[in-house]
Amino acid sequence: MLVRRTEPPASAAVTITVDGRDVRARKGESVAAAVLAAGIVPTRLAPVSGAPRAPYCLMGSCYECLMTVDDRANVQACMTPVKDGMRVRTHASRPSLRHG
Amino acid sequence: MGERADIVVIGAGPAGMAAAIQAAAAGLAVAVLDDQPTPGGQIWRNVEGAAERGDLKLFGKDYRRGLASVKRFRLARVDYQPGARVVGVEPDADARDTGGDVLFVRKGQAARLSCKRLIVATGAYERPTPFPGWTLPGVMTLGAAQIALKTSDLVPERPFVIAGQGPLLLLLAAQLEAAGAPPDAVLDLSDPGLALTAGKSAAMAALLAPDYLAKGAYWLGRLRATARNVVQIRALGAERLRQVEWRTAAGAVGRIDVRTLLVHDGVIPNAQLTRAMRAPHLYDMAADAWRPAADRLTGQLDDMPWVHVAGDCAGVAGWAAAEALGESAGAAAATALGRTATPGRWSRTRASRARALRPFLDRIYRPARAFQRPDDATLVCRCEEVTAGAVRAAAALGAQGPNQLKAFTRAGMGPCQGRMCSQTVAAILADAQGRGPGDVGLMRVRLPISPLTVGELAGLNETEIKLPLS
Amino acid sequence: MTDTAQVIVIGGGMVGAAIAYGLAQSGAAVVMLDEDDGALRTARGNFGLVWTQSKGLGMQRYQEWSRRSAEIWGNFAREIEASVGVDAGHEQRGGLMLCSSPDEVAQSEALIAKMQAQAGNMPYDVTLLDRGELMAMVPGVAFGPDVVAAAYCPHDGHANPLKLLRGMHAGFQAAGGQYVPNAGVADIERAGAGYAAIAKDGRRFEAEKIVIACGHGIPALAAKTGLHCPTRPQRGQILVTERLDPILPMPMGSIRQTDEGSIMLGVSHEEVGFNDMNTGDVAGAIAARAVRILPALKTVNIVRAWGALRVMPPDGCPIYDESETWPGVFMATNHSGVTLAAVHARLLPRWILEGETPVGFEEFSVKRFDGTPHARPSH
Ligand SMILES: Cc1cc2nc3c(=O)[nH]c(=O)nc-3n(C[C@H](O)[C@H](O)[C@H](O)COP(=O)(O)OP(=O)(O)OC[C@H]3O[C@@H](n4cnc5c(N)ncnc54)[C@H](O)[C@@H]3O)c2cc1C
Ligand code: FES
Repeated sequence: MLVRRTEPPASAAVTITVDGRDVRARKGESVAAAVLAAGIVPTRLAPVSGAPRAPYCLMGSCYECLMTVDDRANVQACMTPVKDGMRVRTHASRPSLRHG
Repeated sequence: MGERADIVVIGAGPAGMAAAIQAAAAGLAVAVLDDQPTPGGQIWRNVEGAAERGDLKLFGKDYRRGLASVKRFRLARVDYQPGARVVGVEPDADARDTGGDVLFVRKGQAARLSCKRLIVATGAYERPTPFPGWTLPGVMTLGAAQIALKTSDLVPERPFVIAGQGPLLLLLAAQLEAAGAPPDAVLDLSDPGLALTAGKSAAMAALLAPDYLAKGAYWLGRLRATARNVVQIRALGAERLRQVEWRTAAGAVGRIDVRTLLVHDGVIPNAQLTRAMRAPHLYDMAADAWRPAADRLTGQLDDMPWVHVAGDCAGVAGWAAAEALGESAGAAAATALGRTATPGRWSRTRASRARALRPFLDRIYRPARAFQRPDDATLVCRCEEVTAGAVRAAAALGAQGPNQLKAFTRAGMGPCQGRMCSQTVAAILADAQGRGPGDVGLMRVRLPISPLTVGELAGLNETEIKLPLS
Repeated sequence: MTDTAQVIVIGGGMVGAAIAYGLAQSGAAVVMLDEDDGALRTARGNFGLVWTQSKGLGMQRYQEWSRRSAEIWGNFAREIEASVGVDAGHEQRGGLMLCSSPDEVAQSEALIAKMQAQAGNMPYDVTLLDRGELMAMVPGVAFGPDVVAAAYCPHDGHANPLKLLRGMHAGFQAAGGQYVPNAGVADIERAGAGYAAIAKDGRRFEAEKIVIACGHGIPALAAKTGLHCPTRPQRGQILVTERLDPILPMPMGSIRQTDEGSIMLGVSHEEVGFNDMNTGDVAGAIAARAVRILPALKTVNIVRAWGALRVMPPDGCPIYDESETWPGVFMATNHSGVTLAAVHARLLPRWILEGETPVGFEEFSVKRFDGTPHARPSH
């Protein structure tokens, strides 16, 4: 749904992993933007019906962009700037209280 | 007790930055909390980054101007805390007018910041646009596309369609065109009588992007050629968006194959914080939106004099008015704390000039009917997946108001806390009861206005508070 | 409107709706008058426990009343589901009260001993489990090291209070009841052989009998009808998390997982008058306690929080009474409207319609406070 107009120059790029795959992102952009630019949709399934969803507003209002970031479930990806080495998982599972 | 400041400003957009600069110039200790990583707010989002990558020209003169404002803000003596999300405000215990605490989350930790005066400058967000298929991946807001362009140099994947109404529709079409990604079609959902006209485009351009206007009528003409006035849209697809279906007032139906659909229906004040504080709010019929009851120039709340609102959260009037009103709120707050503040002489004029345009804009950019009366099958609450039909069924049980509807249907109970549905729920209820939206009101907002983790909240109290068990 | 109904129920919250639902089910012509949307609504702010283990210390009758309600709750919920298709999410798999300090263990032991001592021929079924027994009862739940014991009661359970409320409202209307929202009652008058309730906007509703069951609105109306109602507001704050995988098989006092998967964390007891705002300090304290009990909650998002005002009688036990000077005017209140919904719906209609009461019901009369200083400041 979103594609890069220009690739960020090496000096302005960081690498994150999304679902285990390396994704180049532009410094300062949000995790949600980086994931969309990598062509990864849907990014989650709605909690009641399981319908596919993806980031919608990119400004923090709709909460459609929830992803697991560095092991924390349901982080608002559009409000989270990318950092080198960040590990992102889409289809964020529900966090669990189970041990083991 | 957490930290203290004389004045806390929430939001680092045009309004918040201007307010902070004023108050700091008056010699006060000012803290600015903003949830974005860089200053600029919505309009000047990532203006420093765009300048660095040499892309300022894409967005026009108004965006370029932001660079100067952001530079002034960076130079001001304010304690600027980016990445800080405010989740609530608590007035001091007994006296309403001595100040209060701002509760916020930053770097995984909840904290309090006490202040004597608060300036809320949280801007606006896009009016929710429920229509069949609006939750499909591939459908985004127009604002989202603009943010992606500003922060990431991303453009919509083609073919793509822009649908809705409002001045931003045309501006973004032009910005995307300048970025080499013109929309494949524009579906204009304005009332047929208000459809895209040369006058409307020109008014919009004069307001939002004078430099585009100066460059000639090329893109306006082009847009008019691709725009189609329709009354209904549907997004079709299974795993993701494949087609947009439209219907005209005359009943003609058509479909377009698309990868991306951008929708927009104007912006409304982001008043979550003042609503959570239970400050009185007014329903502005022309804008079809609620705003806090406040002094129109200083933004001082009628009911809580220690709090000011400034910028679009006080009533949408654009960045120029926001900057001017921010300045006047900053000066008023500083004066209230015994300082001399001298807002630029132009600020009052600019504010009233921008304000003066508003009724005209509200008249020509009325909210799209297609999004006001979603059919029964359309999801109204995206988070809890509640349809318009379910809301209507609950309204038929005689729900007294939006809070009872929320309790009966779960609409508004998800993480967005009603940002995406409370207006629609209220409109459906108003219809069912033959009342006006101003009479029905909105569902209540409470602290925390945005989710935070149990662990973050657990760290809020520095000393342990015992909870009585029963 | 001046049609004469058989009974007017004032209040559309948990207590009023249960009684009105029960009355309508018994075939009475009932009008339920309710306030507006901004009213203080305990019905929308409670924790959803169907709870017996802590009920009735000093008043065995209340313990028995709660047990009776818990016993028939499942059947009551099925009846609602069958009639209007709303599943109130009732579960009765027992309930735990966690102890996370030696003090709390001592308190729990003391409560159990006292309750056992006052129990007559209805044994008080609560056992204190040690940590090992607790872990065996709820396998997989990673308790924090502070959790040392838990009181377990097999009769306890929980429900979805909002679905219950909706189900009772829908069931009431399906049985022919008439619901009138935005009709807060300002006054009650005598009218012929019956009574009239006058709404704030002047509308007048007449009936043979009136049941005052409007929570915090009761004291004012009771005073006009020869009754008195010494309840006070007591604030409770609650936090709710995002949905999680089902993990908690039963409610644990101040922590429970709902049928939707979210975890509710409660709950404070604050004497702050009619102030239902929620606050950072109490929310912080609730969160801190929750993290000590279930450390994995640390990274779970809280999506909502609120404060709500309990309708609290001086001794914490229900008040049901009929006016002596205005016979046919009844009042009903308590702060466990979810737990007691089943008995309210099933047993109170007979009292109201036929004067037939369960054994020992007179113990719930407000007369029990006569001569005791129970007046409390309301602010
Ligand atoms: C999506 C979108 C696109 C727009 N595009 C244009 C455009 O192209 N051209 C144009 O002229 N106008 C545009 N507008 C309108 C323009 O953005 C506003 O008129 C202008 O930004 C108002 O300035 P402000 O300072 O009031 O608010 P904003 O610029 O929105 O600043 C508010 C700031 O507060 C922050 N904030 C909000 N809530 C919290 C919180 N709880 N805690 C901490 N921080 C918070 C926000 O992140 C933001 O940084 C757009 C509006 C939107 C919503
Ligand atoms: S995309 Fe809407 S909140 Fe992130």
